[in-house]
Parts: sequence; C-alpha cells; structure tokens
Amino acid sequence: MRKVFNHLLSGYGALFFIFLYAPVLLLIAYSFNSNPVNVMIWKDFTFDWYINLFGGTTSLKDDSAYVESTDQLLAALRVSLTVAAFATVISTVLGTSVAVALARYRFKLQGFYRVLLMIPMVMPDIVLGIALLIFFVGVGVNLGVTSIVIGHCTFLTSYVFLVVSARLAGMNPLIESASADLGASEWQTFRRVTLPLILPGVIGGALLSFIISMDDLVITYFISGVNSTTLPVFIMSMIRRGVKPEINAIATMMLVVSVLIASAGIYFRSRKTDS
Amino acid sequence: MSAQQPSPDFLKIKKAYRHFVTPEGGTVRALDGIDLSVASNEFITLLGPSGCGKTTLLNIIAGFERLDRGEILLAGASLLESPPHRRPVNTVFQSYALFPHLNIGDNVGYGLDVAGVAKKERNQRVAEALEMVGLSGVEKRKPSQLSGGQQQRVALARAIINRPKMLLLDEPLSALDRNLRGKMQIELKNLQAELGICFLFVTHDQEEALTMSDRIVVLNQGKVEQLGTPDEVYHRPASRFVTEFIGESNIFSGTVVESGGQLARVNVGGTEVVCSNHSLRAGDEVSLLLRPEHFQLKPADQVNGTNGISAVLEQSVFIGRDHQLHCRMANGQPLSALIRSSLSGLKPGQALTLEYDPTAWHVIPGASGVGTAQ
Repeated sequence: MRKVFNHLLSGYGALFFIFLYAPVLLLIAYSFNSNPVNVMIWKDFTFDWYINLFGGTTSLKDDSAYVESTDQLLAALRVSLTVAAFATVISTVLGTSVAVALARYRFKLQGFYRVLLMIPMVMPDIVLGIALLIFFVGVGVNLGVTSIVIGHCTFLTSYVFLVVSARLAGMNPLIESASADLGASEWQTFRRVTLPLILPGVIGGALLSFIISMDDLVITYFISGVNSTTLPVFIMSMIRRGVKPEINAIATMMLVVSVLIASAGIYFRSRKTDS
Repeated sequence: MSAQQPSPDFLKIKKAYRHFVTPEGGTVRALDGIDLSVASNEFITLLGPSGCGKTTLLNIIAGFERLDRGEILLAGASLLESPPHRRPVNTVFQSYALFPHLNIGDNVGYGLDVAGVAKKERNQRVAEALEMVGLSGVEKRKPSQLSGGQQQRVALARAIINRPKMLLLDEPLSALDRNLRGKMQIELKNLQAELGICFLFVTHDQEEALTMSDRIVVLNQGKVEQLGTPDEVYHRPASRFVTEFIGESNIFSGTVVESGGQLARVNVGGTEVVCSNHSLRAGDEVSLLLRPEHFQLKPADQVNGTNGISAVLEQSVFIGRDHQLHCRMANGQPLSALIRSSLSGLKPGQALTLEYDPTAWHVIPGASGVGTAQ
C-alpha cells in the first residue's frame, strides 16, 4: 500500500513538472523548426531562424520573417540593456539604503514606510503604468529611455529592499556595535562590516532587478516613447502580426540569458558568510 | 605598563538614572540613582539578577545607550558627549560578536585597521594580543572554525588591542562549559593584573563574581544594594536581598527575647537562637543569617546547652567533599547544613542537633531585612 502510494506520488511530481516546463521545452524545440507557415507542424531541423536574427543569409523567403533588419532587433535589445543597467544601479543603491535605514534606526512611522515600500510590488502593473504615464505627461518628461528607467526604479527598489532586508534581519546587530566599540565611525562600520555581510543580498537583489527590468512589458508599454522600444515591447508588436518560429528563437535566447542571471542571483543570495 | 599611581576615582558615576517604558505602559527603572567610583586598576563586578540594570549600565558606559539623568566621568572627563567609537573603553560581548567575514587576524587587528596603524606595527600587535590570550598562530582561520572558548579569547584579544583605559565585559563566560569557565576566570584575573587596567565585569553568577572581583557591586532594580569586597558581600551582606542572592544561606525572621552582655536570644517561630548582641533590644524584629557551612553536627549529648538547633533530617545529598543536609526545624522551617562527608550514615527522619557559634550569625535589623547590616 505504502509502495503504491509512493509511486503515485512520484507520478504526480513528474506530471507537475511537465505541466510547468512542457510549454517552455516545446518553445525551444520549435525554434529549430523549419516550417515557416505553421509553427506547430514539425518539418525539419534548422538553425535558420537564429542565423536570420543575426543577419546571416539563409534559404528562407523574405516574407517568412518579421524582423526586417537585425538592426531593429539589436536596437530594441540595446534599449532594454541600457534601461536595465541604469535602473538596476539606481534601485540597488536606493533599495539597499532604505533597507539599512529601516533595519538599523528607530523613527516615527517606521512600519508605515515598510508597507509603502511593499506596495509597488503588489500594485497591478496596469495601474502603475497608467499612473506613471499620466505623471510623466503631467510634469512634461519626454517619454524615452529616461522615463522607462525612472518608471522601473519605482518598483525595482521594492525588490532590492525586500532581498536586502531579509539579509539584514539575519545579521547580529551587535556586530555593528562591536565595530563602533573598536573605534570605527559609522561610515567605516558600513564599509568594513555591514556591506560585506549583506553583499550577497545586494548582488542577488541587483540581478533580480536586472531580470525584472529586462522582462517588464506592461509598465514599459505605457511609458516607452517612439524611439525607445524595449525588447519585450518589440516582441509584443511582432506577435500582433502572427506567431512565427523566429519569435521562438528570440524567446529561447532570452530564456537562456535569464536562467544564467537567475542562477547567479540564487547563488549569491544563498551564499553563506560563515555566520 | 607605566608605574602610575592608581587613581581611586578613575570611573565616576554620579546619580545615574535610566528608565524604560514597557510596551504595556509600565516603567522599568534600569538605573535608579546609581553612584559609583571605580579605581583605575580595579576588577569590579556588577552582579545582579536579570533586569537589575547591570547590562544597561555597561551599555551606557560603552555608548550604546543613553542616560536619562546623571553624569559619568572617565579620568575626569565626561563620557556622555562622545559617540561609542571615540570612547577609550572596549567591550567583550556576551555573544562575542566576532566579524564572521574576517579571519582571526583581521578580527583582532580591526581596531588598529580603522585607526590606520601601519601594517608592520599592526601585525606585531595582533600577534602580541593573541599570544596574551594564549591563542597564537590562528590568524588565518575564520571565527566559525574555532571553538566557543577560542572565540572567547579572540573577542578578548580584539578588545585589548586598542589599549583601552577600561575593559567592559558583558557576561563573557556564560556560554562556556563549567570547566573552561573556571579556567577562564583565572586567566581573566591574571590578564587584568598584567594589563593593570580597570575591568568592569557584568555577571549574574555570584560564584564568578566572588572568584574574580576586587570589589562587587550588587544591583537590584536599578539600585546598588551593596558595594564591597567578595569577603564583605559574602560574610556581611547588607540586606536580605544580598543574602539570598549570594551563596546559600539560612535566613530566619525572629523577635529578640532578651539581650544583655555579649549575646542576645531571639525567638524564631518557637525555636530560640543565641546570637551576638548588636545593641539589640527585647522586642526588636531581626533577620538572622547563617551559612550552611557554619553548622556542625554533634552527638546530642555533647551539645553545649543552648547553642544547638534541633531538626529532623529530610534528605542528605552527597556533593563531593561535603554532605548537604536538608532538615526541618521543630517550627516547620527548612534548614540547610553542610557537613563533612566522614559523618555519613545519616538516614532521613533522623533527629539531629546542629550546633553553631553564636558569633557566626549575621544579624540584619528588621524582619524584612531591608535595613543596613551592623
């Protein structure tokens, strides 16, 4: 009886992971499908879609691909990377500072500030997107890379705050007292003790921000200008004209990069500093 | 070390008050008018139960907490204006609080590194400090690779490397096992003598306090109950609180029946006890204290008249050299005595007569024993 139950449980576990990953695996597989008309009917194995994306010459007919030029795709990628880089740096500095402030100092309305920092994460993207659009138009900021960076920082700061706060909560505050006791000023204590100890959290938070920024569609859609199309917005506009294997190829490459960054993030977050 | 004359008023605490408001709205008087003078080469212990204010006082001297009212002077200068990193005192924390990301050498050298001491001198002083605490050659290891006792020594080396004028120790031995604790007590005492600086030691362990201290400050609810040498605190406790907190003792409340000459007779719930006469008058309420080791077990026919208390043995516990006898007096009060083990063969239920020297009783006026000892 026990044995049967264990087998059933294993089967259930397998089904669960198939449910999670089958679509993704299919997407990867069909990115190598040479059928240009119907993506879901397997014809032959080909690298053509990838080669085409990078501007290589292939046997494909001109109308089978969306991307009119690799430049368009690369421009979108460049916007995405620029936005993600700036947004990550700014939100990592802001998120870490506010986490340290809330963890180490006592002041009025502390709990309320904590809640305020959590809200952007649970706020519907659509609401945040529209709010930001109205705000930017209202104060006269031209929509472009700057507006996207500012917009992304509003919610990425919350993610960094959350990750760094968890790290700070696990740290013995007496260690900082010991540093002060031995003659270190507040800045020396932060540089030599606090920062090294929360660094895994800071790096983890930064990587998380980078991925979320690269990935964001809804908010970015509202606040990107004509010449500042990010990669997800670009792909979205492609899909409106129908799904073709080329999109699978782009998606597969994004997936690989994201998994690499996420793995690095998990590695840094879980790394122990011998405490 | 310089051959300076030790100054008796090195650390001076004047009318120190610190009250906390609890979340329930009550007030905790952590410090309630503390006055204290400590000499520059003294090993002084703050002793008391948890919540008596001893750690609060240490944190205020270190600069981690503020004082509501009062003044603290170190070598004549006020401490309270300086932030923790500008005070010439260093702390050994209860949990050691070593820096987990730095190796032992960098932990010990931390104070010199933030002060910008040159590499060569710094390394030499790190080696010296580690040698002083008997832990040479572990510079490259991480704190997590050391045992609790070794971490304790690292914390000590780290705290003395800045050559503080005063070392604050917050229950540093409480996490060690009994044998190691005993060894560290002696080493700490030796280190203090070697450095010739003031050690302010916080503990709730009366045995530890008695072993190491030059003087003990017994604290209770933010007030100094008694300040004295271990001998004074043990043998002449100033109040019933000190009596109960330090060592084991028999405490009886009674009324003076008759006093005259050298001795007084006191009625303790029906049993008469003879003690030294501290200008007592008949009818006075007193608390009488006698340490268990001051009782002697004699065969009933050898007891000298009145200097004995009759009691029934309830339990006899062998604790090494001695037997601890838990007895009950005729009036129902418990009585504890320490008797040399050679006199074994006692059985529960047996009637005993416990003899005492009348001058061994410590008399505290007043039934509650709050008054001052005479």
